[in-house]
Amino acid sequence: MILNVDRLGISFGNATPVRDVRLEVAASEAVGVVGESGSGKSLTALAIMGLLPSHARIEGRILWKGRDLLTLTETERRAIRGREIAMIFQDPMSSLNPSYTIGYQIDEVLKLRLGVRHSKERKRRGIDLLREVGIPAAEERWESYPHQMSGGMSQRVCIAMALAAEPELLIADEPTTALDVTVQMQILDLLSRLKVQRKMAMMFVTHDLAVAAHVCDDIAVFYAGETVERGRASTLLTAPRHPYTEALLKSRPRHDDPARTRLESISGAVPRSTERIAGCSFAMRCAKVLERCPLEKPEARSLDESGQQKQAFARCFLVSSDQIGV
Amino acid sequence: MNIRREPLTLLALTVLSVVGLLALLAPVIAPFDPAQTFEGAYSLPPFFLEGADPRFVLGTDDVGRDLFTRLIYGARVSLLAGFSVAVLSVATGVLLGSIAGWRGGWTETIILRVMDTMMALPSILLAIVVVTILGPSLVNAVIAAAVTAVPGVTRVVRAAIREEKAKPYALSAKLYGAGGIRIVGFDLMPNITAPLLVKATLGFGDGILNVAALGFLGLGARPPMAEWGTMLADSRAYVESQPWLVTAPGVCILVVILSFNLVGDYLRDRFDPKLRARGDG
Repeated sequence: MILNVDRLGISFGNATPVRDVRLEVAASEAVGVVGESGSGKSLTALAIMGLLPSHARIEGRILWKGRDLLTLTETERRAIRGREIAMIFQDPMSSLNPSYTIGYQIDEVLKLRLGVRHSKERKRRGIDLLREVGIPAAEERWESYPHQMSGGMSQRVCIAMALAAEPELLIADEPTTALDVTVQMQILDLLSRLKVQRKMAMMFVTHDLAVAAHVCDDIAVFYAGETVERGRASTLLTAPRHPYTEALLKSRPRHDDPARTRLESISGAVPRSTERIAGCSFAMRCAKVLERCPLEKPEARSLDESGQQKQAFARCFLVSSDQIGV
Repeated sequence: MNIRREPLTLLALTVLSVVGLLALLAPVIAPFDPAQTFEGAYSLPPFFLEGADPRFVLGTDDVGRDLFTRLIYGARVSLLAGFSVAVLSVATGVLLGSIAGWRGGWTETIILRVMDTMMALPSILLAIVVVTILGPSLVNAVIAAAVTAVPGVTRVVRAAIREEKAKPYALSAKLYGAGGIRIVGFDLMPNITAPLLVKATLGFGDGILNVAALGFLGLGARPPMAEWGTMLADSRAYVESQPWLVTAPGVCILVVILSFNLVGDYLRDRFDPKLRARGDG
């Protein structure tokens, strides 16, 4: 386990957008973080990177290879940020500086971040990186400005920059949301390939279960700032244990089932981050709600998956389990 | 937007180039020394009026100095003053605006409130206060005019920095280990040059006007230095008998500042589509 986010809470004033996030990422494995807007996915990612605004209050632990990132100094975090843990963002078009050529920007990362002295060496490595992420005519692209490139190309450049430091973990925050569907698939394939080739772990933030299913080994489902279910992607997608995961899967458009003409949706809205929730955060919208659900908080119940070193769990009273409280 | 389709902007640029060239080559072009007096040639009218002396194209002032020469040397002073005001105010404004925009929080509040207070005062009043503290001289008039221009630049820079720093590329720079100074100066600054350039151009014109105004009030350039505002003030007693003495420097100030404003407006329009695309209209 290289990354272990344990009971992470983030609050701003009286708003608590992240309440209880638990996440484990094993070396060279991809974990999908799935949830609606405002479920705390991106904030969790920023907390891991140490890029939250200074007025954010953070609780819990973020263990990176056994060290709690939250106890490190800013200097120590800078050594990890962008080197051991890299990140790419949702909107590739504005993730690159519009005033500089992409070659210059990659060169900067190699020079200042990795201390590659010779400019020829930097250019060679930079062009290799561009080739690795599938940019055609990389030498010519070296002199291009971001506005001369499509969204897919820009995202590839961002990935190339993230790879420059050979990170052990790549956090991808909705990397394909802003792209066309066809380009989305290409980027997903690229990320899957890089994960295998570079033996790099990935934390893949998305609101799209299908996307997560495509690249991820594990999936963590977030709801209202909590991890409500966590498990192997294959198990979670075929046999969801938490009603929210189940509802999410049902509300996916499917082309293989012509009998279903209406798309199901989850009624109600996500609780606001300023609300205090006594019981289960999903109780108000849950189809299988029990009497105790809005009153009592369900603990994380372990789901027995044999041969699993990581704990799969669901936070629901309906899950019967011998081992209560993970 | 093609500049060739903007006759007014072209005209303004031509005027500024001519004035700039005259100012630069003043010792070569000017027929006399600006302080040289000609005995017996007091208050001569310009060439198109009766009684003109062919040596003095635009006539002479009340102490017998060539008006044309003095106007050319005055252009030197005014352009240099305007330029200095623009540079000083932009430099200070960029510094304060960057700090306010980047740091946010109470630092931003303090800087902005001070700027608001300065903006609440009429600029010429603020300039007079500054000159009163520093003492009247051309350099102090420039400093005073720059001080009055700082709040405008600060606000523009702060707004632009705030907007740019929210973009992922700024976060990305932070991610790759860049510090605050590097991100603001190296990553964000090139992306806010458009509004800054407009502000600087307009500030150039405003600077000339404010320095001339202070000169007129006797708080800027000291006689016998040839400076448009001072020349205006010196000859205002003769406005009825020798109207060309006030008209000439007045027209110079008007034309130069109008030209700067036209160029500034052109730049603003020019950059506007980009500004609108960024969402700040």
